[in-house]
Amino acid sequence: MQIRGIKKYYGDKMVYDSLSIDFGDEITAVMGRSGCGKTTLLNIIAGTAVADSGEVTGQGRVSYVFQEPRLIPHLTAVKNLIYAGVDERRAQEVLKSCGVDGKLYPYQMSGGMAQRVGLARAFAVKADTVLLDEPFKSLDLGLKKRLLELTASLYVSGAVVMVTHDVAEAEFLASRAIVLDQGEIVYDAYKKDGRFDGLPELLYSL
Amino acid sequence: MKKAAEIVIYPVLAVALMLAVWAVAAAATGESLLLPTPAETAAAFVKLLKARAFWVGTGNTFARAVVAYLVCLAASVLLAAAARIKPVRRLVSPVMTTVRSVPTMAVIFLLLLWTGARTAPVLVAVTVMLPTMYSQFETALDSANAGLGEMSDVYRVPKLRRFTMLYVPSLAPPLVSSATFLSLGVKLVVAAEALAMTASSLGILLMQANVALETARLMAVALAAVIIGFIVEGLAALIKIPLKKRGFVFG
Repeated sequence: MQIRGIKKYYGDKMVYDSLSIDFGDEITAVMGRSGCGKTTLLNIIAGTAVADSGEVTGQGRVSYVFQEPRLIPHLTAVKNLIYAGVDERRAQEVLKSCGVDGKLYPYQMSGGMAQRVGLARAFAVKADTVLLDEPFKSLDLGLKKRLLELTASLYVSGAVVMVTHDVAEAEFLASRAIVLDQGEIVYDAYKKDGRFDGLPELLYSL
Repeated sequence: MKKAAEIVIYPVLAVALMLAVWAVAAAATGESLLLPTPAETAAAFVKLLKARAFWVGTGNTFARAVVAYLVCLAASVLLAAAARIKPVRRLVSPVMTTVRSVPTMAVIFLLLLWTGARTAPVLVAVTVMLPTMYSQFETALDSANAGLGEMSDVYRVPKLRRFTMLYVPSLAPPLVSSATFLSLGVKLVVAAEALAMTASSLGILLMQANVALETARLMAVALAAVIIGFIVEGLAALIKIPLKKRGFVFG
């Protein structure tokens, strides 16, 4: 997947002036300060936001794991996946591998379980590009670890772009990290020995 | 035990409390013409139940309320669906605000002038109920659209599937909740019938009792309308139970 010359302004506020990134068949963590446009980037790739200029190519079929699960409340877990275009048998299989009873309604699920259904949906559709927008943000450490492991087990191939503030999350799941600041790439490197060396200080500042 | 308390004991206690306050107030007044006792009203109610005119009147009044409710329901759903289109929403919104703000008595008098004694009560109920019902359905569709609409866009869910699996089912909660409008409709229809002197109606029974200074009978007719309201709202509450188990969210 490639993004080329993406320009995006909200009124006078520049988000990107000319952003270009090549995403390979790997998990890429995109990090940066709050408000630097990470979610905007995901939305442009997903087609739910329109860039002022530039293009996104090669994204193919896209799936998305949002910060909140965004499950339809009157559909069971299985039906939520069917709604997204997954056939019933595959939906049952993927939900089982995620440890979720497909017959549960969202109101019967804990936050972690609902997010597992969101992950199942994203990976069950066999998308070419999977977008993760801080999906583990409001979860406790234990649950976060389990969901990170689940995500790693669900990933087979394709481009995964994961927005996160958490360096540990990025180091666990991603093979590549990109840091954005003021519309530009300030860091782009692959993991070595399980770590991203030389990450910018801005990621650690309060 | 706690559920039994919630479903049975509290409502029974509430009714007992209301009856107690009523009895004390009636005793303090000491004048049946002003405020009959619960016992006098109950006796008048039993007498009403034996009168054919009461049953015919109740049937006609309830039928008018049902017609008004169904007209409002259809109009609310259609308008709320049409309001997905911004220009339509911008057109509908001020109209609803106007309709909501017109004094009910003005509506009754004007509709009596323009239509007949049998039609005016239905239209009065429609005019009063429609803006609020529309607002409920509009809110339901807005909430269905918020984050779920974006999710549907990302996953490229076809329009027909969105319609059948997301939007139509999302109307179930306001549809069931709108049953309370039926009891409001009865109240509005009775008021309009009383002013219009609509034949064979609860409204005219109310007016006749008032003119004859038979306050106990007047209150008995009012009690009939209250009982209809309780039945309708009770049925709606029963329907909500299986829907809640199937994940539908009510307000």
